Amino acid sequence: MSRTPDLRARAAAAGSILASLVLGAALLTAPGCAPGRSSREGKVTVRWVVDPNPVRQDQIAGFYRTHGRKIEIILDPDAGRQKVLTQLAGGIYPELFAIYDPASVQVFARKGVLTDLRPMMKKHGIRLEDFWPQLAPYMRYGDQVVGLPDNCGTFVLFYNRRLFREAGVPYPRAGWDWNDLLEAARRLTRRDARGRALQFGIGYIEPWMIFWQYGARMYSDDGKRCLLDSPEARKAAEFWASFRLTERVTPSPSEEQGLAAMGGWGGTANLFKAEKIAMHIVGRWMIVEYRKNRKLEWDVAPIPQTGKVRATLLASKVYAIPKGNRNKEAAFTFLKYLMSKENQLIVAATGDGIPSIRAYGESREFLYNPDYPNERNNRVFLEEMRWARPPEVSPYISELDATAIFNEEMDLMWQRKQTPSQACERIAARINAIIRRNIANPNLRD
Amino acid sequence: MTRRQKAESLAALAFLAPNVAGFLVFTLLPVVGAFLLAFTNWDLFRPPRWVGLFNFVSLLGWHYDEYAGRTVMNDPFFWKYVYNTVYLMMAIPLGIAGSLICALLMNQRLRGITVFRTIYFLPTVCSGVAILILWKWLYNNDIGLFNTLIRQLGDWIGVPMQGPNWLGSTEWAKPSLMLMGLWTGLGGFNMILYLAALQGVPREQYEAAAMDGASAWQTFWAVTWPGISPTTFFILIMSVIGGFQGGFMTANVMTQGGPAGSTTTIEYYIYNVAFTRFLMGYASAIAWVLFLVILAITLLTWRFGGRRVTYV
Repeated sequence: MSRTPDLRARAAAAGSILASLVLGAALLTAPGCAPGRSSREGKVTVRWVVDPNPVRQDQIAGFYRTHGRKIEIILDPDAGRQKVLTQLAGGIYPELFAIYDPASVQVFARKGVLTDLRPMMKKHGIRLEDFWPQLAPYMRYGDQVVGLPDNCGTFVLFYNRRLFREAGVPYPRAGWDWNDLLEAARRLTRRDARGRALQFGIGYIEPWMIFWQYGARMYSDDGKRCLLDSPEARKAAEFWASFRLTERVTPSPSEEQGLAAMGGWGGTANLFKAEKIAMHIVGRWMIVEYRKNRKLEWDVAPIPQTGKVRATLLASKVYAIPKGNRNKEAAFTFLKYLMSKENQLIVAATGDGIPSIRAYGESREFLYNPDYPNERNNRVFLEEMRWARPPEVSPYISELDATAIFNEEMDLMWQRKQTPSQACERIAARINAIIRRNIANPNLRD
Repeated sequence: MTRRQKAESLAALAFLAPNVAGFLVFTLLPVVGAFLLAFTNWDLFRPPRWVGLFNFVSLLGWHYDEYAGRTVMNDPFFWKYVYNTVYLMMAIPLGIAGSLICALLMNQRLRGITVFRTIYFLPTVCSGVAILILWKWLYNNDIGLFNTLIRQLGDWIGVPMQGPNWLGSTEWAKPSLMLMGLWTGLGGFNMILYLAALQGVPREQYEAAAMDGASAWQTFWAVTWPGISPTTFFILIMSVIGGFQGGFMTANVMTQGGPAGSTTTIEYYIYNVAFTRFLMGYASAIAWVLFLVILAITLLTWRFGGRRVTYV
């Protein structure tokens, strides 16, 4: 056989490979393959980047009910900051995306990627005064309004009525202090003969409520100093850590994992849902999950107080419109709907937290839901709003650096390599060193 | 050049082109880009601004902290993670020795040896994430298999025993990851390379050693070990490079770099700085420092280790 045709065939094969690669690349970069934000069949699409809570589908259905289908909402779940930042950096702008903490709001705003919503709010008659005033740190960056929330949640005490009844422990009541809670948690923790926990009194407690109630603060007012080395913070840390370290009424991470294998699903909220922990301090959004276990007899009470300062944690998420997106009007139409009575009452009815607009939060529909007559204490969520605070933020340190330092020192504390007081001192020293470095070299701040 | 040669060259170039194009676009270009970015403060959103050596000084330099009254490193996290990375690399000699022992065992002419070779190679073909999750459960302090066995052993001998908090304590987290790495790496590609190398050692040398009355141990040191030294050298170089570049998957899946940052490696740190904090300039500087360290150590290994290699 002659070799020339063989070479030609090989050259032709190689050419085909190259052509396929070029064609493939061309197809991949063609406009039709780009993630869609442009019109499809004359419709404007709004990509909504938010968590995958099933309530989102109810909210979208509500939008279509009230606004027709001229604007198509595409739900893009999993709104981690990393994913959104990558999308924004790649020029794939979602029309609307959720931000879950004030520190992230500051990071996005500092990077200049958020639209100032004030002109559109003015045009559409959305007033800042209508929101719960405690939500301001989530919404504002300097004078600008960079995000609007449709829900929020004060941290309250969820408790399992059946487990309390069976252990003969009186239900939590207003006026409880932390020692009352600790005593109840002791009685509600059950272990087997080996000492292995079968049930815990209370799930992991976010520390800030206790710290604030002891009169401690994370940062000074100007954010230039971490104050966790104060005597109040040390005392609060000793008490907070005792739940896991000495009293052992709160599971360690490996105990949480272990309980999951014993019939729960892992994670503090899921363990409460699986009746493996008797109390859990969290916001109202969790009842979306708790309602799924029809046997779970849960109720809520205010979180305990020390009597010194009343305080609880306030969580929320805001929706922001990236500067680069071209469908700002459509995005704001949907955002306006999220602030409307229709959606705010969906938030109230589905249990996705407290409506962000005070009037709807205090409405009869929020306080009493005929579909869930056992949920008779919704007023507790509102009462706690009076002293609810968002997490503290310093503009001089990355929240990720601060969290890394906090977790590292707390890890050593959980291993009993340092006392809670020493952990507080080291956290403050390390955070303050970075704050001083960042003030001197602002390039290192993110 | 004849027409045929031209056509042959064209065909060769065409076949090479996809790979070369891939290398240029996805490797060389990012490497050069990262080098330039290391001198900027790019954060993906604002245009990059030239900052000269600022990132390198921030990474490797130190300053006097007046408040603390002492000299402190500009980036204390980095040095801690360098230590973690080097610590985890201490498992490399053990891994190499283990792979060699496995290869020696698998090199026996036994019935069904292929089945054993397949079993030992299984961890390499399994999903890495699945293996890591499996080990996370094995290491669970309360219900993990290891601690359950230790407790049962204690019951059996009548002394209460509790295993260590494998992944939850700063002392045990790194050794636990090293142990797991040994298990997954033992029968992997290194064993395959050694098997091939063992089968390449000339039979005549073994026969000569036997005729000289050498013991098995003497035969190993005088014949086998020099015969497979090029492979050992290759495995050592690749393991050292891999060690410096490793630790992302285990940290991301099993420990999130904890407890207390004790399992965060340089690679995981680069990922966090780049893709969580979006300090691309700074992350590029760390990546380039890592590259230079790997280059220096590889050259040193080449310079001093290469002398001991025997090519038969």
